[in-house]
Amino acid sequence: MTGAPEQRNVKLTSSEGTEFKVERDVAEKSVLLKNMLEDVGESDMAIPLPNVTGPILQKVIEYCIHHRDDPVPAHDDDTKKTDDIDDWDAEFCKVDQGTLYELILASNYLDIKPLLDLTCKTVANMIKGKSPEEIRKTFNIANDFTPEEEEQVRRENEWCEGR
Amino acid sequence: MFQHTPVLATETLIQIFKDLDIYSLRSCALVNRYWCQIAIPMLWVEPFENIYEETFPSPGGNYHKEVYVSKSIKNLSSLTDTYINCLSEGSKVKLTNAGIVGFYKTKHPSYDYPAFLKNLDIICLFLGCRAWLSVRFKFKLVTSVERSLLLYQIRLIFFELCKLFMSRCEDVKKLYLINKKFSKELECAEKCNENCLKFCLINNVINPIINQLPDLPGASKCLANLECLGTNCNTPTEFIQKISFFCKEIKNLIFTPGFRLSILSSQNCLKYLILQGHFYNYYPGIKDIFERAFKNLEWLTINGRDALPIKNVDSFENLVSLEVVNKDQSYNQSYNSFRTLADMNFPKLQYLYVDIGPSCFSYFYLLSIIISKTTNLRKLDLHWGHQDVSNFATLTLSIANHCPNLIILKMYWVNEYRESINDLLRIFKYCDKLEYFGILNNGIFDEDSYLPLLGDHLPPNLRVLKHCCVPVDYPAEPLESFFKNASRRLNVPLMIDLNSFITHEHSKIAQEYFLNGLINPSFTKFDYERRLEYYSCNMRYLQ
Repeated sequence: MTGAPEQRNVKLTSSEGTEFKVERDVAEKSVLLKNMLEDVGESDMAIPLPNVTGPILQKVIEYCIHHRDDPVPAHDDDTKKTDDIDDWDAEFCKVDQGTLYELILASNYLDIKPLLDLTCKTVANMIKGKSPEEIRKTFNIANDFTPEEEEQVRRENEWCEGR
Repeated sequence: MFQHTPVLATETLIQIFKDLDIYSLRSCALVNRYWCQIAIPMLWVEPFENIYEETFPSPGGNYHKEVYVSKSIKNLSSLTDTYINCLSEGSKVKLTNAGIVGFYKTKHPSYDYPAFLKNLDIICLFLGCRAWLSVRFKFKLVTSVERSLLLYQIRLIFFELCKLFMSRCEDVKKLYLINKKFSKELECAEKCNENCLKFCLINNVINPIINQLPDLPGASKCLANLECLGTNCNTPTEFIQKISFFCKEIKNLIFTPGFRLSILSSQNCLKYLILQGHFYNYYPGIKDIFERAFKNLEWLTINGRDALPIKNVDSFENLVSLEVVNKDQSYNQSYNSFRTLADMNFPKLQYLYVDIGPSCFSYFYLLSIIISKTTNLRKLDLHWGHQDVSNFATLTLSIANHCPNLIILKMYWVNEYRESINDLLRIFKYCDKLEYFGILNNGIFDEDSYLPLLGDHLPPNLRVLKHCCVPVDYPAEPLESFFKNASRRLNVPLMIDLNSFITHEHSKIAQEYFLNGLINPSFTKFDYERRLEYYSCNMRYLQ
């Protein structure tokens, strides 16, 4: 936002070709887009985002609009802990697991650190306090350990077995 | 059976795992091979620290320290078991030859566990070795031969593991030779001889091996990037001198001067310093060394006696936090240090914490001078044990005049003379950013007129008013006018301690204001240390 008096809209195209129009400051929540826009300058060309589907891009834009006025976070990445997710963000993350994963991938690709942090924290909260088997169930993960391997890792890590 | 879910990238899983406690992280390690590969290195970065931090509240809510210490020792033993399994074949043969048999043995450990370690706690390691052996001996130590055999075996395992860490760890960041939580466990249960003293294990078993640590293969590489070193008066001078040659990047040092000054003089990046013990002035270059070290210091904790050995410095240019702790009954130990400090400047000081025991002198005057050296103070936490309160007004005046940015204030309230309440009101008026005011005694309930007055002058953003509980027999009327006045002043709900009888009149009065949103019980959890990004200098490692 280098002193430009009026906001130009930016066009984004999702993987299926759906076009989204957003204001520039909203798009610039994504470091990837911010850098692109700075390199390309003003342009009416839509920016293709082949890695992001329409519904996910819709969600990402919703997040960026809500947080458009947030200050740029400081470099400290360990100041925030999982317990301080605010109400809007918690509501935003109430989606099915597939969508949550897609949001992580999209925020990683678009380089939107606060959204990546939020979605990762949400996943971490889903893991907390669960047994390995419960985690596998929650995330649909197959156990590819042999019984011997599993037993050995279990024994070697006995020191941090639950209270 | 398993539907397709996208696989998360390694870096994403790392970020997710960073938010987990070690118990959940351990579960992740057991999910599948991919998760295991990512979780294990994270789980093994600081296992000693993780065990140190364990607390085991018993079901009834009682705090049985001994129970959880012995649980932690058991975990140290399991941890040591895995490390022992990572020893080289040569070391394992040595153990077997020394009669140590029957340890858990697979051909290869699943991971090179020692390689992940960044935080080595020597005392925890030693206790792990001892506990690991004790399990095997089942404490059936009758003859002196068995005792000396046990001690020999402890030494051997401890030494072989030190060798393992020095050769396998690439990059240890923290090295602790002190350990407050387990200090009692260090007492010699082996009863090595009739005159066995409290420090016999430290002096006879631990320190000789610590002295060899810097000479072990790989040590100079392993410890070269050390950022945090915790030592005390038991730490051997020889060890300190040796590592001073290759540890020059220490940021955080816990340190008892004595003859160990080489570690201080060899540092280039020191930011946090915890000083304890006597600051004797016997060493010719001591002042130069201290003055050079103090120049860049950001956090200083002093927990010791006698004057600070500085003369030619007049300013702590970069100091953000100053903590002076001395609760010892029998000395005016900090007074001389305080006099030195009062002559200095602290342009950047934000946090001042002082906790001093009984003293013949009043510290108020010196404190008021230190406070007057900056307008940046955000947290002021003052405890004292002296009876002389003659200069209290000087102290409160200094706070009111020099602390426009204060957010946290904790101190006793000395209600010595008629106008003393006005001093408090003056603080409220000029420290208008105050969010937390903690009174460590009950002075504001001395006169019924005080509370309504305070309510009328509260700093607008005050969120927490802490004090000893409202006395049960305190009349309702002033409390009610306090709430009434406060509700006109405050921008945010206030958390206040009431006595805890729900049916008491005070609680009934408070209830009405809960409903009006003036006071809010949930603010008890508001963490001011985090709010201020306040780094309290590793106080738990102070002895």
